[in-house]
Amino acid sequence: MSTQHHPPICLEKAHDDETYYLNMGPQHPSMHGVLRLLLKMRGELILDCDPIIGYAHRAHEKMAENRPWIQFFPNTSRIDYLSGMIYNLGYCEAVERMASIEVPERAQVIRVIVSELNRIQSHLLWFGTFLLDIGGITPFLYCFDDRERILAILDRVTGSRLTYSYGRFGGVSRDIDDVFIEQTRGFIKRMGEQAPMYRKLVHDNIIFLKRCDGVGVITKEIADAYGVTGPNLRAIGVEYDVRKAEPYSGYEKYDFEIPTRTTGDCLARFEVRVAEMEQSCRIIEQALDRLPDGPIKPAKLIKKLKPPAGEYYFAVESARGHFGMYFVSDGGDVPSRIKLRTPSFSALSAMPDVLEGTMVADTIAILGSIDIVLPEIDR
Amino acid sequence: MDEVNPKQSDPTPVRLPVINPQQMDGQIPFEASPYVRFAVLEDLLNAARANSLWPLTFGLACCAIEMMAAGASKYDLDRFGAGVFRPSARQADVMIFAGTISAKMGPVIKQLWDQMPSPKWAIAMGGCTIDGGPFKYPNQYAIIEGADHLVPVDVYIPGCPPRPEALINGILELQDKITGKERKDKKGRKGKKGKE
Amino acid sequence: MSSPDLSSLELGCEDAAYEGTGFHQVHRAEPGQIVAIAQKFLEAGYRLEMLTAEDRRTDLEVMRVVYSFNRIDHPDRHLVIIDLEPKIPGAHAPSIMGIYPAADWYEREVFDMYGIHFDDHPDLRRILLPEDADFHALLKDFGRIEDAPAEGEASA
Repeated sequence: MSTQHHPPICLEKAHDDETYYLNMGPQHPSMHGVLRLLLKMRGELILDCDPIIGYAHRAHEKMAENRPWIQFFPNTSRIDYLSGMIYNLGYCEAVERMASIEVPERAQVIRVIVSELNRIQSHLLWFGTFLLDIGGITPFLYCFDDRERILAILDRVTGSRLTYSYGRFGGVSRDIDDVFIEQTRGFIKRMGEQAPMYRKLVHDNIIFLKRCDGVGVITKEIADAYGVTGPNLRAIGVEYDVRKAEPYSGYEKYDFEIPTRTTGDCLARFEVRVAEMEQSCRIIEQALDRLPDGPIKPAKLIKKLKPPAGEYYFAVESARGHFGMYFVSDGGDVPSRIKLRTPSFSALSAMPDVLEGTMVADTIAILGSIDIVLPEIDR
Repeated sequence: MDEVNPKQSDPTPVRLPVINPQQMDGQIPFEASPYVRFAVLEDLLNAARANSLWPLTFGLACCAIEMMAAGASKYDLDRFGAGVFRPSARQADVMIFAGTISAKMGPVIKQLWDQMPSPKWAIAMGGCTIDGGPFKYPNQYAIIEGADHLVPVDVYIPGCPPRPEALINGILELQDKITGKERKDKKGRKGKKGKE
Repeated sequence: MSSPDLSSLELGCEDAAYEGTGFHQVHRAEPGQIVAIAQKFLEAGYRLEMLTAEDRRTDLEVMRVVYSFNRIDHPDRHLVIIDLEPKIPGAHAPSIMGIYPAADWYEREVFDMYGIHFDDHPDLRRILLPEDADFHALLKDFGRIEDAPAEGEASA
C-alpha cells in the first residue's frame, strides 16, 4: 500500500503498448452523481486512478458568506440530500451551540426521531443503488417501497420529501402528532420484519459474495491517513461514531450499539449499514417512549443572530460519517466563513490508494460500497 | 352493403361486413371501425414516440433521487412507457435534467445532447434547471442558471425537488406535446387545462 | 500517547471552551512551524480533521490557514492557525501532505478557492473549479453581489 501521491497521470507517457487511459463519467450510470474517474489501466487492471470532481460545485460556502445565518437553511439540506434532515438539524445545533441558545427537551427528542428516520432512509437508498450497481435490480424496488413509507411520514410533518428546512434555531418548526407516532411505530414494526429479509435477499447470493467479499479493503492506515469516517471506518473495526464520541441532541441518553466488522471490505460495509438500520430503529423506539410534553421552539423565533466573534466547530454523524461545520464569526449577522467538512470528501480522497491494483469491474462495487454523494464532495 | 350469410358459406359465426370502397366517400363505416383505421403516418409515429420515451440516466443532484423514486415501485414511470432508462445518450430520446447544472458540467451536457439522435426532447426538472433555483443569486459564478442556456427545453417542471407525481405529469405533458393531442380520460373528456 | 508535546515549539496556545466552541485548544503558529507541528500530532496519534483557509485581508490583514487535529478514541480537538501574507498571488505555506495524505485534496481546494500556494505539494492543481478558471472563488473581493452585472446585461 502506498500513500504516495502520483502526478497527473494524463501527463505521463505510457510505459508500454498495453497501458491506456479510460475515462469513467461524469455521466455514467454507476457514478453516484457526477464523478469523473480518470483510470490508467493495463487490460482490466487499474494502475492508477485520478478522481476529477467539481461537476456539482454549487458554491455553498460562497453563498454562506453573503447572507445571514438563518438564510443558509435551504443550502443545508442540499449539501447531502440523502441526509438532508441530519444536516439541517446539525446546522441548527451548531448555531445554537455558538450563540448559546437553549433547545427544549421535546424538540431534542423530535430531532432524534426524524434524524434517525432520515438515516434509515439513506441507508435504504444506498442498499438499493449498491445492489443495482452490482447487477441486482430487484432489491432497488423493495428498498424504495420502504423508503416511500418513511418519506410519507416525514412529508406529513415537515412538508417536504427530500430537502427539509425543518429545524429552527432553538427547536423545530412543527410539532408531531399522534398520527405521526402511530405511523412511525408501525414502520418500526415493519422494519423489524424487513431487515432480516434484506439480509437474506442477497447474503447467500454467490454473485454478491464474489463481488463483495474481500474486495476493496480499506486498511486502517489508509483510513487514518485520509480521515475516513462513518460506516467505512466502522467496517474496519474502529468504533467511532460522533453520536457517542461527542453527543448532541441528547444522544447520550439513548442505549444503542455501534455495529462494527473487522475485514474492511465491501461485504463488511454492507453488513455495517444493515446493522445500523436496526440500531436506528432501536433509537427511535426509545425516543418515542421518552417523548415529553412541552414547547418545540422558543416563544419568539430567532431570526437575526449576532454570535460572538471567534472560531467554532461542531460535528454530527450523518449517514456517511463525520460531518463537521467550521464557523468563523466576526460578530456580525453574516458569517465570515462557513467550512463544511464532509465525510464523502475524505472517503473519495482515499480511493486512489484503494483502487490501485483492482479490476475495473471491482471499481463499481467499491465506489458503491463507500456510499459517496457528489454534491457533498463538491459543495 | 351486403351481408354475408354465415350459414351458407362460412362455418364461423362472425358477421363480417363487406365494404365497398366506392361507397365510402373517405369515411370508415361504423361496422368496420374496430378493424380499420386511417391515420397520417406522422401521427402514428408520434404516438409511438410519445408512449415509449427512453430517458437518459442523467441525475446531477437532488432531483435525481426523485427521478429514481418516480421510476421505482410506488410511482412507476414504466406504465407510461418511460421507464427504460438508457445510460448511453445514443440510445435515449429524452434528457431529463435532474439537478443543478454547474459551470464545469456545461460542456459535458452539450456533448451528450449532441450525441442524442433526433427526434429528441429535453425536460428541465426542478428549479435549478429552470433558472438556477435556490442557487441563483446575483453574480453566482458556479452554476448555469437554467438548462435552456444549453439546449432547447420542452417541458419545465417546477419544484425543489418536484414530487415524483410532478415528474410524471411532466412526462405526460411531453407526450401531449409530441402527439399534439390532449390526454382524454375513459369518458372521453379532455384534461381540465384546456387547449394551450 | 495522548496530547502532543508542543512545548518545544513555543507556540501561543489558548485553552478554548470546548462546550462553546468545539475546540479544546487553539494554537497560533508561524507558517514555517506547521510541518513540525503536524509531525508532532501524527506521532501522538491524531488525525487531520480539516484544513481550510479564510480571507481576512480586510479586517486582520492576513490570509489565514487553519488546521484541525482530533483523535478518534476520545475527542481532543486542536485548532492551529497560521497567518500568511495578505497577497494573492504571493501567499505561500508549507504543505503537510508528506505527513498527512488527507492534506492533499484539502490543500488543492484551498489553492483553488483562495490562491494560497502550498510549497512542496507535488500536484497543486485545481480541484473544484474548471481547470481553465482564472479566478479564486472564495476571495472576498471576487463574485460580490454588489458587483453583479445589472439586469439585462449579458451573463455567463
